[in-house]
Amino acid sequence: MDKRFFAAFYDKHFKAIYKFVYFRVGANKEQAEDLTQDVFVKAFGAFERYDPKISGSAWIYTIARNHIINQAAKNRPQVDLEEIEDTDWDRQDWDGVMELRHDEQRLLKAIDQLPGDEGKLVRMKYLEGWRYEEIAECLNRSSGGLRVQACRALKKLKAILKQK
Amino acid sequence: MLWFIKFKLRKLSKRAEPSSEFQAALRKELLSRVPQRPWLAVIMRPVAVTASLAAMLGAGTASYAYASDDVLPDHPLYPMREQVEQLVKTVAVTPKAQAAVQLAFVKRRVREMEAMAARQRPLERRQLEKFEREFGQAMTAGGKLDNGERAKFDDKLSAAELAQVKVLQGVRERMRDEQGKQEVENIIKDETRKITEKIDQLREKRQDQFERQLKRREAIQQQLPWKIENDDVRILPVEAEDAPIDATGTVPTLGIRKDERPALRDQADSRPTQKPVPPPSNREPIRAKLRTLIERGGLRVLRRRDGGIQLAATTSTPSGIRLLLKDINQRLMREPELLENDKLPTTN
Repeated sequence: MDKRFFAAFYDKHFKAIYKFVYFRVGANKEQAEDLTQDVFVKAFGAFERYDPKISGSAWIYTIARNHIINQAAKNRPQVDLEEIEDTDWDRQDWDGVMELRHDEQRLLKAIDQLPGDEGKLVRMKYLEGWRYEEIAECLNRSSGGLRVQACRALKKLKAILKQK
Repeated sequence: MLWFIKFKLRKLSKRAEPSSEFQAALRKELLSRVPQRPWLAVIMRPVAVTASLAAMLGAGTASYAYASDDVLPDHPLYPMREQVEQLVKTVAVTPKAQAAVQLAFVKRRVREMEAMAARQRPLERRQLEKFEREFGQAMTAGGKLDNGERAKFDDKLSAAELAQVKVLQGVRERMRDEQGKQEVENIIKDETRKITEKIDQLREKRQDQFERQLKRREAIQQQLPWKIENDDVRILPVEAEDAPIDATGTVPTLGIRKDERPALRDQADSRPTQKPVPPPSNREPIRAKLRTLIERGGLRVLRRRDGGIQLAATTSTPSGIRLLLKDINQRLMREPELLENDKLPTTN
């Protein structure tokens, strides 16, 4: 796609990608900005090869995810790359994150306890602000199924928070 | 009480809002790298075209030349008709609009030939070449449409081509002298051959495109890693870390230096041209995926004479999985241990 259309693409996806990165770097603003910049620089470089028939959300999401994985692998060279690929959420010690309040730390730890797909869905929908249709394109599922799963996930989250 | 959970989540999400300064600064930085066209040309070109089109059509003569079926290739206003048609092509911007315009012009050429034949006027070689050219342009324009629209478009284009052949056959039958008849017969055969060649080329290209889509979809369903390499979908690639991102944003592929790129192999050559990759400590996820694939695809595990392992399709193997086999077998040649120790029944 022509790079002249990149501005509109950037405006559409910037916030979601920033938030995606933010919650994967332990709510560290500086690191989130650095990595978000990296992601969009890569996307810009590859934009001419981007086929508009592919979902833009899925495309930029994959770039961001791969970049996070590569950064994690650099920081932990002894770990097998496949192990990192399966760990979508770079689990943080939220207790140590001073920018977050106590209740926010509780909420993030509770989300960590949800099963893989449900945790991912809650993060993408409610923390990162993706629409169901965009999530469906990224995860190759139906938006209807995701809505049902989101409702179930929130109920589980409520139960986890009640226990604590 | 789910509303309260959603409220807390959204409140937390607001903590992650990026600063507007950072957003604006990054945008400015990236857009400064966009190659600029003279802004005047960008804005003015379509405006100029539409304006001149409107002026010409408004003038009456051009409108008549463009719209009237009486303006045939031997009419003095025919060159004006051709100019207006060029402008109409320029204004069609989207693939759908371009395809529609090209199809309309192909039908026009057929109507012109029908009208010339009906008035007993001789058909010139130039007209036939023009039809063939516009037919080729229409096929190319149709190639950019989505699958469903493309199928309908192709049907309409075929109908136009058939109509043109019937016109030529009608002309041939009306001819009195044998030499003239033979000449038209030769023209029909020549036209048919050229158009068939174009269709075959396009069919092959579309088939390749469709196969790539199917391969990628199957890889996603089977949860196998994949990437785009040399315009093909490669399954189970050996990735390079931090290489620039490919068009689909999956495993990095482009930007690998030439001396790092794997050599292109002849399809018939089964000898590995690369040294086996030393296996990392944990290949269990890929092994598990391969076992599932073998089960789902009804694949046979064959033991080659050199001791290597290869997967083969059976009659029950779905076509999507068949498309993945070549790449998987290439990977198994380099890393036979992916299936080596598995207790799978093998056939020699």
